[in-house]
Amino acid sequence: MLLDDIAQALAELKKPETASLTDQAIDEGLIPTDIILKGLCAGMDKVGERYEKKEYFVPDMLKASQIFNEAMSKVRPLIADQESKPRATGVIGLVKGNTQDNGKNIVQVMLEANGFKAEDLGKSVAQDKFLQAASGGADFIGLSIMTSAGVKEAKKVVAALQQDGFRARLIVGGAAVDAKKAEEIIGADGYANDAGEAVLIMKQWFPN
Amino acid sequence: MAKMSSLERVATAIQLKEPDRVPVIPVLMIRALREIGVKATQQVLKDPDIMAQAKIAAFKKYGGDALVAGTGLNVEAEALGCTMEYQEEEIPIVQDRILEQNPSLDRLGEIDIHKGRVKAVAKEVEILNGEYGSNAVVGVCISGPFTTSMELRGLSGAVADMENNPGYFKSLMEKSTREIIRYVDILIDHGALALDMLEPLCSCDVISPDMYRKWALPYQNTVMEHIKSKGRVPIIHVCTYTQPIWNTLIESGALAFHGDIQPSLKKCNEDIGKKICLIGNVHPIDVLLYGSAEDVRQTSEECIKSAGPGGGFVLAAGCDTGFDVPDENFHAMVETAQRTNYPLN
Repeated sequence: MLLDDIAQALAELKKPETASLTDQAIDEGLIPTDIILKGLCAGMDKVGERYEKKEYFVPDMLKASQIFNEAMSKVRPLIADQESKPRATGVIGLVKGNTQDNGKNIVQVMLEANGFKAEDLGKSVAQDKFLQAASGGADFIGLSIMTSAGVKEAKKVVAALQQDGFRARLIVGGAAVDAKKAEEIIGADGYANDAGEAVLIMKQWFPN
Repeated sequence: MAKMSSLERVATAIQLKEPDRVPVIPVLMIRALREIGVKATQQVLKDPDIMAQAKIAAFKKYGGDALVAGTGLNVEAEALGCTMEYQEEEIPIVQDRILEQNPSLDRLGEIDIHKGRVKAVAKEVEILNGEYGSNAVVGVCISGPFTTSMELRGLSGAVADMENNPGYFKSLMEKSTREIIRYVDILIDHGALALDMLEPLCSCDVISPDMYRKWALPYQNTVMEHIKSKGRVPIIHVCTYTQPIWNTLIESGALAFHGDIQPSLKKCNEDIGKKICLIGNVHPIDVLLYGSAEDVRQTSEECIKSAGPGGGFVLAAGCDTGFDVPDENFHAMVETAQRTNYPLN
């Protein structure tokens, strides 16, 4: 089946093949959302599984996200506005002072692949940027925390969000935190150990 | 056994033998600044007198068998033209990667003592060496060739280069290697005895063992052999999950492997402990920052039990320690080593 072939080509990081199969699916008139969800997103799920099993590494994830985004750019224009409405909209970024963005990049790609609009605020993001996102109506905010000073910074961001009464769901992850620290020290709503967990939590928070 | 000096103790462990007691390095770089009530501003990090004062204050307070000059990563990247963001309680981070948009290696220039923090770190080494060099190990961190190349170019660009333009990436790695050797020579000229090569991006959480062997190992080996040719001690530091490359790390030529060694110090010791000195494995965040003094004591004892028998082991924080690590946790780690004499029971 063509959609399975797209997923498999992406899972095997075959860039030209993924692109040409996506073109073929479009030419054959397949439903664009099926191409995305059953083809490209399914492929990204396989990539994520291989990363979890240590069969793929960060460079492979970067390559997969590039292939995914290029194929998505072909399909996205075909989707009607209603159909393309994301499950939820939010931002993700490394807290101020933190710059190791490999994990954050993977989470961002996997969220996008699963129907979330996750704007990437980048590295060493100032507290104000997160507050701006919240005041702009973000459904969720993702904080990536890689150092002990980053934990302090995240705590400040959460306190500021709470003080201002914003209701965006807050998910955290990164090398410097675990579930206990996320809840007890930072005060986050959720903690994800990896991209797969982040997607699961977000799907629980924002079912279709 | 007669009491050894700190220098003799660590040297014996590096030679994979049993010293008088378990050597210990608490690893205070940025954290040492707290001992003299200053933050890690650009002004402070570029002042070797203040930096040395902080390290000496920490050494006097907590003890241990080595002092570590500088603050770790990114000195080379800064000296080669990257713009840095200085932070109060963390090491400076690269803000703009000089090769990210324009990959021309001609833009890099050469590392010399007048660039970035090179002079500050070298002078700090000199001061620490003058104060303690005859008795304790004066160490300093250098960034490894792979990590330096990633800092200069950015991971995404570098990964694309490896696949699409491997000739360019090889040139970048060679350039990084040459510049690191320039920095190494400056540090050695100022008295550095042990040089800990930081290669966090070589972790198996980031790159594959095959990529490590192809793109990092040969260049690390060039630097390590250079350090050894100068009669100094090269150490390799790779963070987090490293089991698939434990045996490959030995080929780098390093005399010791430092890290928050995962998945297990015990397994690592069984696999390579007879071939390379192991330095670790008290987790800097989970245990030193968030644990109690009793947690630190227990973890330290477990580390000693796992890798201490027969020697060739130094108890240490697995990575640089954070600004908020409590005093009593450093004391607990150092005291645990100080009361653990060889031969171990």
